[in-house]
Amino acid sequence: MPDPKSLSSEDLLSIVRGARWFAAKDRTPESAEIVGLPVQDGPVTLAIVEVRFAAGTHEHYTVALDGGDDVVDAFDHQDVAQRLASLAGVPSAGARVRSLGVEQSNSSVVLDELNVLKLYRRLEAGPNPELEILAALAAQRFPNVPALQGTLEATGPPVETALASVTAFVPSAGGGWELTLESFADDASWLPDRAWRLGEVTAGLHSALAANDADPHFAPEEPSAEALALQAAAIDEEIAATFATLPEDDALGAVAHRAEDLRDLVHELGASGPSGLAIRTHGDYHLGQVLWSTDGDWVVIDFEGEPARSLPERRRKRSPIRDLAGMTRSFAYAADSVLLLQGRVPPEGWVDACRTAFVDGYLDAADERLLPPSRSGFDRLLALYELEKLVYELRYEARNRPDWASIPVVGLLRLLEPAV
Amino acid sequence: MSTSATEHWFESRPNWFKTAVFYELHLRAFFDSSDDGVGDFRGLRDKLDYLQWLGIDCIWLLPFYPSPLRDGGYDVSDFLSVAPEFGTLDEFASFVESAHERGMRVISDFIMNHTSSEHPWFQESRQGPDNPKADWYVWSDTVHRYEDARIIFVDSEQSNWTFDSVRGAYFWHRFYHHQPDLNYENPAVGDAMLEALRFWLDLGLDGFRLDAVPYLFEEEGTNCENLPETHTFLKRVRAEIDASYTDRVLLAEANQWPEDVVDYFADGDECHMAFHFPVMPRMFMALRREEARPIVEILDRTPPIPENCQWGLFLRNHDELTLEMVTDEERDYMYAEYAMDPRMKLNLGIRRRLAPLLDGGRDEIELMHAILFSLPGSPVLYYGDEIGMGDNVYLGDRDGVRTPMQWTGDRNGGFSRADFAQLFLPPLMDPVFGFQAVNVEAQLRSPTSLLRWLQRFVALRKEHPVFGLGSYEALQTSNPRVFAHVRQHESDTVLCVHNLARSAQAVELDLSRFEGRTPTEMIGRSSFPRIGELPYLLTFGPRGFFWFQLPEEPGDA
Repeated sequence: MPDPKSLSSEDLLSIVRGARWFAAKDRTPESAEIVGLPVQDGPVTLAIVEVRFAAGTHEHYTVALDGGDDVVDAFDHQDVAQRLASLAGVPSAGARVRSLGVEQSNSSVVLDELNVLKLYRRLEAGPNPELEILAALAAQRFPNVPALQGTLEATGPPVETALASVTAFVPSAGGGWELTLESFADDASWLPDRAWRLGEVTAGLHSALAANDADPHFAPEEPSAEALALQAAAIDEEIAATFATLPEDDALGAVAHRAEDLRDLVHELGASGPSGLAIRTHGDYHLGQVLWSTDGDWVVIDFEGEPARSLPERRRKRSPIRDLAGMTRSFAYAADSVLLLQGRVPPEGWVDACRTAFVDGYLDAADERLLPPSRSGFDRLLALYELEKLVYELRYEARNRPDWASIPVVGLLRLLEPAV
Repeated sequence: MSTSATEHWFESRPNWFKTAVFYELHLRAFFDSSDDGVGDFRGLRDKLDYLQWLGIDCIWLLPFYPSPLRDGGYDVSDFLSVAPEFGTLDEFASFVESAHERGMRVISDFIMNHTSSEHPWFQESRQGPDNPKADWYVWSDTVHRYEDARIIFVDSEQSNWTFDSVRGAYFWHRFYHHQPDLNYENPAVGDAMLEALRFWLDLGLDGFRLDAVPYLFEEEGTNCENLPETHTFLKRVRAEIDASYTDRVLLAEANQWPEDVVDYFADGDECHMAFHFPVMPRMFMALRREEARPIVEILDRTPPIPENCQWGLFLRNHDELTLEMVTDEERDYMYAEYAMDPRMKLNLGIRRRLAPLLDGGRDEIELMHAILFSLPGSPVLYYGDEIGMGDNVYLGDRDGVRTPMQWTGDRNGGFSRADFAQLFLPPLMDPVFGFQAVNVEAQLRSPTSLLRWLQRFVALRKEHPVFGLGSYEALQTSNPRVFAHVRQHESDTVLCVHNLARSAQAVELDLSRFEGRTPTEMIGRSSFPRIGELPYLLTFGPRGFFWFQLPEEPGDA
């Protein structure tokens, strides 16, 4: 194999730039360099590549170098994946390797339909939130997650963090997102029928995450007096920044001039009373993060948090209601997507049915310490976090998929309607 | 390895401090979690989300060691523990861990030069010339030694020597007479101080702000400041820390002219950072005189520093606005302009906070932050200045700028639930700067508040490493009231132009070397006219400023 040090900046950039997991797609990298080789074992050479940008900032990515002369990422090569899983503590020599093609921020393969090997791509110093959470949930015997089988760590420098993990493969009919979209073809009540259970499982997830008072990284915390105001201020800044750069587009017309109304709404919702204890949360909760297992129950996956946020942000304790907002927005997205993608009109009241069942299922099983003391306080906080999601959606869609911008526009207008 | 080790939380980056924003705070005054009227480590931990939101990279703690508190804690009676009113060592460690977890580092004041007279070392040393610590302090039978050394606290001390009746001899002190100087000629003293530094680094601390470093050694016939032995000792400290720890920082407090301060960087093997003291009064002078010259001149006078070093820049801190590094004329000017009430003077300085110094003027506060953030160095904010807190000149010494942080408009400004009478100092209650008018809660809710503006501005600066890493070059301007300069790092070029006048101004800048580029204003991201051959014309409102990015044209390289 070529000496890793002989790979030029151009070689490395050619691997990184086109990759799905390369996060900084809207910025132009200037150069790249290998700054660490945390694993060199048989067919496996993992390199930490520092990608540098014009402004003088940089990001770190894991690249599996190819044993031959090809300048490609070799993660899904049979022998590389097998050996990596073994290094992570799960002997996998000779295992059949199948790619699990859909992810954004990391890379995963299935080994022998038994285990999932995940290579973490963007590296930041600090404990990997997914591994922390899977370990914490295992300690609480929370059943609706894949079991963690092994990990592979880099001990630094330049960073001390997890490189890869192996979890049990969950046989499933599919992800919540695909199954929901498919269900509109024959049985639109598929998700409404299962949303109550999804709420209940989510409540169980949050209770398990809040259960360990002895571990400072998980112990539920009374938020500081200004916690809600800090979040509201952050959302307010997001609104200002998003609307300042909103492109001229007819699809956006209905909200384009409502920034001040939205900011007033944030102001009002941010002045709510006590919000309940802050805990570690899923952090990026939506229908794509839950599987409907062949056993007929929900399984929650992917605990890394929103890939665009920094590691301290992703590990931060927050109100669990933020996860609920992620899911309820996902219901609205599913309904609108089926219209945009398949031309099918979802049944009248479909989103409301899902939302009501999900929230009721959640509240029925929830740990009350984690919630505002009143139902109206809960509703206001849920609305605040839905607004946060909507602003993010608007920004993303307006920039990347203008045809989809109508989805957050409709959601925002709904929030602005006076409460009945 | 303990999980509080920085290696666990941060990417290994020895020059992290060059792009960091620092926040100096008084533990005592920040937040009281135990309802006893004094801020503490648990309280500070509760407020970490606030500091993270503000964009702070590194917290600088004022001294929290046991102390008789005759000099705000700079009179230390035990270097190896936490004063009981602040909490326990465990609570300290838990606070540091929580800060690290949020991506913030923590440095603390460390007082190298002296101890409290109540420190057991001094109590032992004063017993007579025969005890084991007899030479840990600087003793003399006469006051006629080191007579060329100036007196720093001119308002309260007559001499650098004070007679101790127990030992029957004089001891040396550069500051208060209850703060005897340690005797670094005795190697045991240096060893003991290094041991103390290690003690805190092992608990996770990311470095130290080294208090009063120019005065460690004395020598007859000199002014006893910045002596070569002092530098040798600091180099030893640096080498020993580098050998055992990563990414730690030593920040020197050397209130000296830049040409002397740069010696504390040595060849990049002494202190990582040092405060640039003289630039601060000149910023205030420039603002009052409405001319750029004082700032330009002092920066011209600032020698280059090694690549792995950085200036610490500030507008105000916990001490008086010090006027030691200005000429007598300049000092008279500053007193006349900024200390109308003689109570506002202290030693050679003015004991006031930023907002009252600038008469609460929002434009002035923003402009001063803009200049501070644009200069080569790492900005150090002083707690409370982000909301425009005031001061209380009726409190003694420097207590007037160390009053409780104003969190809310509620009782005690939300700082403590203790009885008002129990508070270590009364919070400000005047109608202009008091907690009912100026507090975090109210400013968080108002998008146009100073706090919200500063949060956005910190975020903007941090988006552009050029401010921490780039070269600095002042531009000739057609208008002496306008301070303009260019910062450059790799392919990032920014142009910062500030109008120091209280009236609208126009300026022409020679930007011909950037011909063809289109300036982008950095706050609103709007494009300005393309730079051509002719002088570039800009107009400003009173105290206005522009920061531009000058992106290279495609194909221009």
